[in-house]
Amino acid sequence: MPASGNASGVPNIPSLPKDGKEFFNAVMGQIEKDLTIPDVHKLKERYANETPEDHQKRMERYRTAIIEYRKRSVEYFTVFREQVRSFGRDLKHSVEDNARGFEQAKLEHLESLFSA
Amino acid sequence: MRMAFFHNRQNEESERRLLAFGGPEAPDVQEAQPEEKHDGKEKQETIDPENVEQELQQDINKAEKEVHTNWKKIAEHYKKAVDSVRAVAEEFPDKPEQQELLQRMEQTLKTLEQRAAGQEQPNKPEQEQTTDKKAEQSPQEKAFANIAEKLGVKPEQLAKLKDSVSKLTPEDLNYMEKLAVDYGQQPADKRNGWLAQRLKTAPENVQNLLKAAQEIQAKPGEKANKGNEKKNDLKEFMKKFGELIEMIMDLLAECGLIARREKKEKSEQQTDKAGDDALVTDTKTFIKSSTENPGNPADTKQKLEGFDKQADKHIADAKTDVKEAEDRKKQINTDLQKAKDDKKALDEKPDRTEEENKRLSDLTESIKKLEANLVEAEKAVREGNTRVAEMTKLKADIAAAIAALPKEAPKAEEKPPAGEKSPERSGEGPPAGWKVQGNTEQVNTWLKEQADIHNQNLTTLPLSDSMRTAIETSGVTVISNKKGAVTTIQIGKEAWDVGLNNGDPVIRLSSDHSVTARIPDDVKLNADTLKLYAAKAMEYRKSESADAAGMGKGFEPAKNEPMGYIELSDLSDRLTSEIAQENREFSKLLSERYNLYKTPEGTIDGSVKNPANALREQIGTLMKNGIKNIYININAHGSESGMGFGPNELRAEQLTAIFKEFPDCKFTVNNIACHGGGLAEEMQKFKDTGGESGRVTVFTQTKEEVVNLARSTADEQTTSTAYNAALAKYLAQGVNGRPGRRLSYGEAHLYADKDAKKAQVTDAEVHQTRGDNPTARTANIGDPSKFEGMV
Repeated sequence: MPASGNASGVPNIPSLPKDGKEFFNAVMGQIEKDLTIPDVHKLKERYANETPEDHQKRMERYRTAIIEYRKRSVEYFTVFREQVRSFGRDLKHSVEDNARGFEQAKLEHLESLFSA
Repeated sequence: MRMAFFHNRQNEESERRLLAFGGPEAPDVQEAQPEEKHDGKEKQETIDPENVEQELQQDINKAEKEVHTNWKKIAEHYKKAVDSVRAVAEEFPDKPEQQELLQRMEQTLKTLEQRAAGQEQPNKPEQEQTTDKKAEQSPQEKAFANIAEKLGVKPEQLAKLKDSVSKLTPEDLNYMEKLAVDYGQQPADKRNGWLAQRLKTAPENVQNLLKAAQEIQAKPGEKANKGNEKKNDLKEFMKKFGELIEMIMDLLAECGLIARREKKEKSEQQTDKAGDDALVTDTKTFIKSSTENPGNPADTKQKLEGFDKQADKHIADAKTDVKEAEDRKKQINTDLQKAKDDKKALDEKPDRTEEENKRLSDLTESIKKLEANLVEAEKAVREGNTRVAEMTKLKADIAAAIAALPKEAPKAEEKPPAGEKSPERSGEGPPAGWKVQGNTEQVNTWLKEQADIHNQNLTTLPLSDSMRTAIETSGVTVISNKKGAVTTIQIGKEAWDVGLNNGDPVIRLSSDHSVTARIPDDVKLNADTLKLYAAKAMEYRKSESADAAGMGKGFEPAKNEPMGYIELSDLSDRLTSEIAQENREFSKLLSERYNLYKTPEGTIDGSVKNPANALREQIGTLMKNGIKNIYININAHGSESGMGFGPNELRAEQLTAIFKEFPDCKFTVNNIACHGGGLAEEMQKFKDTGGESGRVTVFTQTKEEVVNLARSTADEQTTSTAYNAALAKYLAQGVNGRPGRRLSYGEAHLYADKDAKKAQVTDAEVHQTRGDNPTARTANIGDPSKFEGMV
């Protein structure tokens, strides 16, 4: 049986991000806001007057952020895949249980006819 | 080690691209696997924060793909569940709770399928969707909306059709595809009878689908399946079947149920190919006739420019076809991988249900079909690339023909070059039309672009933290080792900069960046290795000064005698094509110095013709016309054993064999290929068969272990290698500009070699035969296994 589900026993659909952009913004937003989708296009304007030293530092920060994002995204993707696998398995069991319930009821009904 | 390729933009720094076999490649953006390591050097090499938007786009695409795949899987799981629940609901129609569950689940499934299709507002009622909102619709919805529009019905009237589509099995789809193809092959007058027979035995789902389509075709309110009307409608339907089946097949393709049909595209491709062939024939016929019977040069030029414009259009069309085929290929690969994964999962499952066995069989069929579609798509890519190559070559021929046009109406015989015997057309000398004309204005413009490339200096990035720590603890004297800046150390009395270039550590003499060496990525940075590579950098520099091949002693490929020019290029590859395009100007530059001739077929596309045979043929043609001195410019990707031209290869030993086949000929080769295309090693083994010393001179732009990189101007309109750009400058201008000292070709090479190192860590070298003696090699440090290091 699924660990969680609705009243009919159908497991809840995994809570995944709506799309890749939502996922990217959510994860990157925790790491480096500059690199989120709404912000990344404004970098040239935002840092137009920075010194070469600051530029180098910022690039290093971005490099680290991208590495961190990639690391985290792989972890999230693994979790998503596992959630989906597990959902599929639970859902399958759920509908089998559902069908079995009706079959059982049908059998009991047939048995009752014989025993009558 | 194969260097990672990436677009590295350091502020104004332009694009660099790799000239190794396989061509330019983006960093591997394959789906990340959980076991990937993210703290290693490999990751550092592929991240380019200067190009952050492009970097991140890969991540966003990957996330889109991942999230989308998961939603698709959820929808698939859910669809199976709904099917099971529906089966139970049909078996127990008197159980309202099961009917309710089915209803709820069907609603949820709809939402999930729309989410899986990437639709933003999955719950939006279908009735609210209007034609002007097509942009917001999923491809499937768009396809249905299109078909509704074509048939003049409301989208909600397509419910039955949608239902029929959703029930189609892979067998049904196969049947449909075959039916569509077979129908098209029937004689027009027999199609209807043939179709009626086929439909009688068609699978039930196909019959239902066609019935649904037939009903939609009927006017609103008209019942299509009653009595005689049914027969009439069917007759009418069959008349329109050709059109309808096309629409249905497009619809199925839009729904992702079958690969997009290529019948129409194929016929378009054939038409395009025929158009290309016609253009080639027309152009060549015109070039031939205008060479043999020269008319007014201005008219000829105008006509040739017209052909050139047409070729541009054909190239643009072919590139669009290639792009579309590549997109198709990508989608098929994704689908194929998924089908294989699903099949594998089912294969490995020990006790499969009947439904799973059915699914397994369906998947096997799908995989076969997808693989066949992939072959088709790959073929389309190849054919498109071939068309681009053929048209590019045609453009080259047109450019050569225009360049060969005399400024005035030509005389019957060209005046002989100074000091040379008059060349006759009857085999004693090259035809006048082959003479390469230098155009000072064009060459000057081109040289400015080359100077732009030449002036780009090699930028090194700061070392990683672990590398900085390694240097800090290495025991060498550290002058500066700040985070975010290039490290400077002291070895002996000299200061050396250590930074990263294309992911590898590079050590450079602070006071002269042409003294430089790349440190392989598997070498640990410690006092010994830093000293070793600093010493190597010095050795390379000294060895170049030694100049064993005597380049600094006034080497020239030719004096006053006619010199043939052959360009052997891989025109199937965008990068080498671009460089080849630049070399058109290079040949004009050479013509300012030498008595240069090029046949109309002097540009060989090695990806279309066998490179070795084509080269032989060209050399033969030049020799028949009295030219025994030949300059060969090779624009191709390379490996340690040869040069690549699309599907073809020219191995280094094939080239040296050609040198031997033409013992009376003098050769100069300029080769941009990565790893020197294997020519360095081959030339070390090569002994001339008693020819005069210096008969063969081979310039390679990199060592065996080193890739070459292309660079572009800031506007990306001009692409060249750093060496070629520098060589052009020194050949044209010598030192101190055009009025300054003229350099010999050999001297220009030495300057170019030195300058190229400032722009990228490559190292040109030259090999020159010495009769029966071993070939001489400039910069040979006496240890053939380690010459010029870089290993």
